[in-house]
Amino acid sequence: MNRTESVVSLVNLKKQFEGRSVLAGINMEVHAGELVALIGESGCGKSVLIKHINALLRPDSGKIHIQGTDLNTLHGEKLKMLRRRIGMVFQNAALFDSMSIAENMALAAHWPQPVSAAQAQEIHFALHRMGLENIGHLYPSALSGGMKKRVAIARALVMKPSLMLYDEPTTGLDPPRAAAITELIEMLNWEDDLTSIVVTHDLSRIAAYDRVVMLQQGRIHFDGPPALLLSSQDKSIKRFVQTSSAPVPIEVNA
Amino acid sequence: MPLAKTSTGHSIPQNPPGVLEKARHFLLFFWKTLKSARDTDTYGPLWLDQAIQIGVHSLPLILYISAFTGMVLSLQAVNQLFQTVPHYLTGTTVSKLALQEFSSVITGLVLSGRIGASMAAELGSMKVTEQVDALESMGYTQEAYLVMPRILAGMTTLPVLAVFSAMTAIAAGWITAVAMTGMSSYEFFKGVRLMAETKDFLLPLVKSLLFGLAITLIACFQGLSAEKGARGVGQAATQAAVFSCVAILTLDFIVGWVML
Repeated sequence: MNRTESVVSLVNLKKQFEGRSVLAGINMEVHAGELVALIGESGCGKSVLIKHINALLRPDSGKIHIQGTDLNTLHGEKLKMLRRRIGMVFQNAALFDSMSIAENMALAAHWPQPVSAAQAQEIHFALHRMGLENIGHLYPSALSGGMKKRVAIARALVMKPSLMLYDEPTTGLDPPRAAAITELIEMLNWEDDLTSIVVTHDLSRIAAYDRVVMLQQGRIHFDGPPALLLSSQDKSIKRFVQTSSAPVPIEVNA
Repeated sequence: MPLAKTSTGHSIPQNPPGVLEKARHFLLFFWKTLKSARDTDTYGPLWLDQAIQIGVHSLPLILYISAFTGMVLSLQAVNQLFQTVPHYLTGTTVSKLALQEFSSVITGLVLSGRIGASMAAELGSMKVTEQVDALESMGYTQEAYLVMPRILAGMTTLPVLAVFSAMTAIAAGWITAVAMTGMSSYEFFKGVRLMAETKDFLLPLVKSLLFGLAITLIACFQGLSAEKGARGVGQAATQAAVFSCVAILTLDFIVGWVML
């Protein structure tokens, strides 16, 4: 993998909803092999930003290049082919609830049903890597939140992507499970030669990332290594780091 | 009105759209669906499941309602006509109305409630839980994977269901007429054959094809436009059923007007 190769390039990306500017000119470059955390307060445009990277949303203006290809010019078959190289893990896993886990994964890999023995083996292996055994026949409703997230990652990986997008993969999980998912993302990025962008609120394991990008009011407020973020004297960064790392106080009326 | 554009170019209204705006979205949706007809590899293997869902599972209800419709038609024909016109016209009345009108309309209305609403709810639920986005992110289009199989299934099963409906209604009408008046089966079927024409078969075929298209297209559009969680899904299901019924009765008149 050429570590200097630009995998994602965003140039002056703008997006409005109902006249409210959500992305107000994002310029960002992600290189091959990087593990990037995208942080910021709720509603600052993190999820909107990564949905632009696989064209689930289209920008009002600005350019998006994925491995040198201008995404704005891609439609139809070419867009479908590009998307198959980008794995995405959604906030609530977004597993197809009318299909078994194995069927979910076969669909992602574009394998017709019934799958061959070799394909079934590949599904088994992908689940095994996530620490999941013998769950291919189960339906998503039978899984816990953490298991659903792992299946969603496995489902994205059977597509053999070169770029992974994670939308809050640890939200709603208890701290040990959240830490395990972050470790898994880190391990996959290294083992599978992936480039990953992770939207997260979890700063407890921020050191695992190569780079942190912080959004604020639709703009990039910080872009640098985790250590620099944690030692920053910028008021809004300090406040965000403190509130994201500290337990939320609960007021009890006596 | 501010709009958010999805990958497939659909405009998602951020405020409740007006009638014209909604009509524009609907036409755009229809156009995108037509364009996805080339993607046979995606929807080809899926339509049979949908056809079974629509056809086989709806058959008992269609047969039950058609039987009672045939009985009521026969009852009315006997009461209104028996004293003044030849008895065999009971068979003519029942068969003409069952074939040209009630078979396709009853099938369409039953499917609007049963299939239209559940289809919209299923797709709406997929939309609000990001399953539709997940599908698109895997390199499928919602039109080819979700809409086309349902439309094809609707357009192929509705004519078949309409045939079953017409046969059941005529059979039930015949039994009722014979049981109520003592008229012979020969007389009843003489009336059925007497004024039979190509239109009796062509009209329900055209109607049921159009009804199948309308029900599934409206259901898919409503479902995939659902927003705002469970409430939005409920609204989509209700609107799919209501708009399908309105579309069926409107199309019924237009097709009848053109073809009769």
